[in-house]
Amino acid sequence: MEQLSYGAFSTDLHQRQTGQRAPTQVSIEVTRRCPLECQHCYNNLPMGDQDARSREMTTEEHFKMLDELVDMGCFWLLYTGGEIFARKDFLEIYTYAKQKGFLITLFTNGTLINEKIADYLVEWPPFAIEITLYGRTRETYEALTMIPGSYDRCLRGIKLLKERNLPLKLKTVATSINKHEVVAMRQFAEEELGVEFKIDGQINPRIDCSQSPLAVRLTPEEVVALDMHTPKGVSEYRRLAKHDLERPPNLSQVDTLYFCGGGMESFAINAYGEMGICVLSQQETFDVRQAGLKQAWEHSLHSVRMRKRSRVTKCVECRIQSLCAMCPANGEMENGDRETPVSFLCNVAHLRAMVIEAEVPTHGECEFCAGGSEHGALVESARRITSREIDVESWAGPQQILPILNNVGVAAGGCGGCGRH
Amino acid sequence: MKGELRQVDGKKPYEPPSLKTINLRPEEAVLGHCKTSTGGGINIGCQFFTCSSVGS
Repeated sequence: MEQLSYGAFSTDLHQRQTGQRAPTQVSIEVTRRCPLECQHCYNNLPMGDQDARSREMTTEEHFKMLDELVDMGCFWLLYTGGEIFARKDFLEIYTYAKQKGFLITLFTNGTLINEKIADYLVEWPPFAIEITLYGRTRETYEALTMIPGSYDRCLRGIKLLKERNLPLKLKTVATSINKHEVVAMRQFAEEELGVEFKIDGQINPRIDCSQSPLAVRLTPEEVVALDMHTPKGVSEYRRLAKHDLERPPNLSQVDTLYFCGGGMESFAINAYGEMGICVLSQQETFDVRQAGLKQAWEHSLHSVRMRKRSRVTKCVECRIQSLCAMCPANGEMENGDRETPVSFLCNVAHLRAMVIEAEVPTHGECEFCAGGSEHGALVESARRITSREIDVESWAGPQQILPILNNVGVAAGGCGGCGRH
Repeated sequence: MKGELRQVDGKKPYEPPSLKTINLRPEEAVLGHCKTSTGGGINIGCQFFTCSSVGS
């Protein structure tokens, strides 16, 4: 029988879908409860949060939703949390999805994985399992997760999956608490375990509007130093910058507020049965328990996805959009407005461009462009990175955990100011 | 002629379906996950139609 590589298959499927609105991918958040209390997390809730638990979709509601997803043509499915294994019925839901034929990826912190779960996953293998590693030492890992014993439990989970040759990938979220162990984590994953490793330097405020995760966010200078730490990173950013500069600005070619695949080929369902553009964009979500997925996709989410942008920001004519993580969800979380540019992300993008010596044509009033108020600081940051004055390999651990900033008046679980919490 | 495929009236000629096997290799995923690196191992978040909330 003829063989086809997965890469060719996936590329072909995505190309066929270009420009068409059809939901082939869905992210399902099964719970926001988690046994860890990571300081940077955007949505975690305590394991014992009975209110959250009572609002979660039931097992039967998950089954019904999976039936609907099959009818809608969904193919790729991501289960995420919170912590997916915090739900006692997760394997039951997962098995139902497997029997339906979805290609399933699991996001987990690994701390609740035991032999029984690992053996079960051998019997019903997912497409991929991604475990987030928060440190290479117990001290660092648990400084971020705030839970004693969690480091050993995570390593046990990794070991159980690896021993069974399951499709494991590791990743980390680089923060001010664990940045000095990122290199060691990469070595552990790639050299000791032989698995893929990814670093995410992006931290968002919480979806309940709390800004608390930003207290452990890396500085733009640190984010870019980490990006450019490997030759592969440098060459990839050069490729993206070249691509951007050779073409008209992408955003000027669309007039919708959202410009991503969210609402076009993908959507997210949160733990409470609400559909949104993605797991981050939660200001406008739609209850699918009563109306059903198809109705929400074809009407409510469609109207959000097709909404026109209200103004022309500096992002619209920007020529380094591929170096920037700005999107409506990030604007929503950081500024409370989907269109207002996020200064942190703009800073990071311009610094990336400067480090790889990509020219940035003017694009409105941008403080990071030549002549802007922040341009001088940007030049100095780029110098420190390229001269290796900032050396990722010699980063030290934090002297102390700094108090949470930007969190004054924030009640537990949210801001109380946006009308949703 | 029996078995010969011919283009008629500008329509795409009929191609009989064929079975193919695909080895599911997550390392060949074209798109990365939201909140994690995208293809190529760098972290740029969701961009245009290359955005994907599910690694696929």
